[in-house]
Amino acid sequence: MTNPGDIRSTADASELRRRSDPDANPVLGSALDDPNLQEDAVPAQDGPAIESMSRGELLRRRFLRNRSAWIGMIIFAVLVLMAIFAPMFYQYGPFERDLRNSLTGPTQYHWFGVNENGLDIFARTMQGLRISLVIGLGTAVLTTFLALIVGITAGYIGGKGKWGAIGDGALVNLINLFLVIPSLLLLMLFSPVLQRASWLWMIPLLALFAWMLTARVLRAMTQQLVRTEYVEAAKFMGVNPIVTMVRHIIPNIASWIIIDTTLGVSAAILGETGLSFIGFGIQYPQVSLGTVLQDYNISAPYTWIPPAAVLAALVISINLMGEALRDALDPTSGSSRL
Amino acid sequence: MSDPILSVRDLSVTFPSEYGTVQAVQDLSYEVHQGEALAIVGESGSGKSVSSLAVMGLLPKSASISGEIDLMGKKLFTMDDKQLSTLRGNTISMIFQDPLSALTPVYQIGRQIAEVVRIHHPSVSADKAHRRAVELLDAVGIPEPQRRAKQYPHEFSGGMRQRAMIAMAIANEPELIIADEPTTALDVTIQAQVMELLKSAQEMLGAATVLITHDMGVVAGFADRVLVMKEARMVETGGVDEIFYRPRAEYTRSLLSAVPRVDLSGADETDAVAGSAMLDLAKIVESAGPKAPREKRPKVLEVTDLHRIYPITKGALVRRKVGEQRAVDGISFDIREGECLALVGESGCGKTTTLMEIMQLRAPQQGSIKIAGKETGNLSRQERAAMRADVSIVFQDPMASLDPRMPIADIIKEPMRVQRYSEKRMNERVDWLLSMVGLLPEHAARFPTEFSGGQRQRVGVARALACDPKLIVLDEPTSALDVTVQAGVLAMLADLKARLGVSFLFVSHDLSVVRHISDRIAVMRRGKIVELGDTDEVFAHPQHEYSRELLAAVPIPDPEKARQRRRQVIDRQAFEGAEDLDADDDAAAADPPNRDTDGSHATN
Repeated sequence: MTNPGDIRSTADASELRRRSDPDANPVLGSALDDPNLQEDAVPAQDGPAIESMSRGELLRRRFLRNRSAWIGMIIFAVLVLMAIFAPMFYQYGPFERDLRNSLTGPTQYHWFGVNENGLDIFARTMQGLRISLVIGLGTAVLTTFLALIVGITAGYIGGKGKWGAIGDGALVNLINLFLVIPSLLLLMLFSPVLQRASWLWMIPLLALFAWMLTARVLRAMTQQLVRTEYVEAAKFMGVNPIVTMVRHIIPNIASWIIIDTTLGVSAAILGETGLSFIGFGIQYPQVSLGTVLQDYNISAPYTWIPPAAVLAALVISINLMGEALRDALDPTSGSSRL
Repeated sequence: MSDPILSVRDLSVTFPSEYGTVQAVQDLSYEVHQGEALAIVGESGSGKSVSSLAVMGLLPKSASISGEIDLMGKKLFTMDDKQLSTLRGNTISMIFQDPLSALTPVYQIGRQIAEVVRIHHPSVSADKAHRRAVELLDAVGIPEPQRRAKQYPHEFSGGMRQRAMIAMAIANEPELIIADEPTTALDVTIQAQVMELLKSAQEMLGAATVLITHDMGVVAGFADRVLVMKEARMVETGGVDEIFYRPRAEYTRSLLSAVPRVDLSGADETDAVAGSAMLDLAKIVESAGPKAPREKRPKVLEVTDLHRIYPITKGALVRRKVGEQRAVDGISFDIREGECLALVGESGCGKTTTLMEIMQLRAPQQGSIKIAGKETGNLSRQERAAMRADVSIVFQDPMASLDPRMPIADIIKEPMRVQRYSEKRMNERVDWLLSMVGLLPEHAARFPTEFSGGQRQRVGVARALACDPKLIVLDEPTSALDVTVQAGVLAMLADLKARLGVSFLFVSHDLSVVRHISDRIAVMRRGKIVELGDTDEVFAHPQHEYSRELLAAVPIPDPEKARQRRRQVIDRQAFEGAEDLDADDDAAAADPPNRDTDGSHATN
């Protein structure tokens, strides 16, 4: 819509819906005694034609209309199913050595071939996919959680007097501090130490160095919401600030959080595999896609093409879904056009 | 009669949407002749803006358009964008609603006006175009045009920006001016000046004008003919007197009757339809008149010598105070039980700051605020929380004041939950409150987006009423609503005041709205209350000069009276400069289409 005066706000979709059905919506609102002039009786519950589309429904439709969303979802589902079930029935384990066949290409027994140490590449890729998926999802969720707490707190208290401004400033400086410290070096330092305890330590470690930018965006979004009239109204009613945050602020930025988390999964997977590839990530009793790639032999493409292809497919499928979600939420993007 | 400048025949515009095709305009036909002002009136969403964007060829690509638009014999739909560009700004020009977003913030005003001149007259030198820009600024009544031409849009006030837009629109003496809600974003005194300017400019140029507006008051003073639109269709068209005094369509009648009038009190008789519904509203207010004399009723709110001063600081590291903004400068008033005090003033006069000071329930910088006899300054935490139930607020924008993610039952319960009402009591009250504000209890499970603006504002009022407040602060509760809806909401408020005995502090910029609902009026200007008195008294005999000015500026939806009030503001001299431009233009053998200014004057 080009003219802001024509259609007023976010509600334009449902407005349009109502307008398109003149019978259902007598515009008149003069609620004086004249019965003809009663303000449009709210459409009766049973009128399906007038039922306005909920935001969720709108989002779902736009998302599913997007072809890349479908491609992403299908690839991702296939990869997840493979990661879950393939190691269950495949005859080789990730650490079983078959030295007689070392450095041979794909056969009907070794689907992706065997590397020079006699390890089956398909078994390792699938096991690595499992670990990488768990770490990717876990890190994304934890990152979002950290960012949510810091971002919303900073955004909310920023406008609350002198002490609020100081607290906000402190949190912003914390974000900046984390942005400037060399995270790669610290990861390389801590990761091998913590790996001895459990490979799951990878999740908090990666999350610790990934939440800052999300937190900044969330802070800005919260600042915007705090100024809206419904948050102001809640303040004037005496609603507790934490209740306000949970009830009014988080639901209204939830859609953005979901997108960011989705895209964060692929970023976390790339971070983890990169670290594993250079030897500072997942260690011996476990494999990740990065460690599988580490055993590459450049003259034997079957040692590195399959894990690289699986990694690429995973990251691309997640990004396709994330982009489709973003398009569905953004009213100015192409997906709102029909 | 000469050929029409613009004729629109069977124009239909549709947009595709999630819900199927939406008819934005359907079978619209009209003609505008030279020197004629046509007003297209309708409520929001009636398709009035879309129809004019179609004339400019500015609709988004997704729109499908059918019908015919003739501009001085040329079919607009057969032209491509490049051909249309030569028409825009030269033969047709448009004045948009929001002057802030219609001017480029990074260029000087003078350059932007000069640009319009030079695009269509490439032979004009930059110097000459600049001189013309200054002339035009002078013509639209901007003081010190030389200096002002070198300023940027942010240095202009809203009214001045709209003047600059008008200067731009008339720069090339267009044959057709389309003004899309030109004064909606402006204060009422500025609105009066801008409309006068637009009218004079139009008469001076002999241009055909299409004015798109929702404001019947503006129409009465401006238009020769009126076209009423409703839900994408034309309802009625006719001369301005015909529409205002003898409307044929039921919709026109109800639209007119809902318009508040500043010039009528309950007793006056008039042959105009406009404002009749509002007179009924006044009767509701009067019938519920005060039971006890004012002095005997307890004070609900007492504000004494309230100050709110914002320091203006400079410097990043070491803040120095370089001045102060006295947003609220020592105001005092009180509101008694069951009374409605209207706080009226233009934007920036300190109305909203006053509200926020009251709503905060904290000690003001200076002065005191007493609610139901208790000072807000020395309340304990519990007392303050309890007092939140006594004062509540209804915001201006019903779209923004309700959380879109909550069903309205939860929205209404929110204040009660803070006051620890039991779940059963809350549910009972939600039903009662919804019926109180004219909605059905069944609607409680719905989300705000499913309601129209007027209904949402009713939900806002229901929320404000939730904890039986003694005082409701209404911050421009109807300014975002269409007139017919506004009349409904005002009637509901009057009814609530009569039935429940709550007091209102009604903040508004619009005198005609408060005329019928308020008992007393406080006129505010620059942080001070310049006049405070009974509503009838203030309207009949305004004491302060500013009150008189404000009253005089309110448009009256009565063509007869509006004509009497009109004055000339624009001076003819400034327009003579345009003739030289055309002379240069012809000499340079430029070929602007249909630029025979003299000829068109002769046919008049």
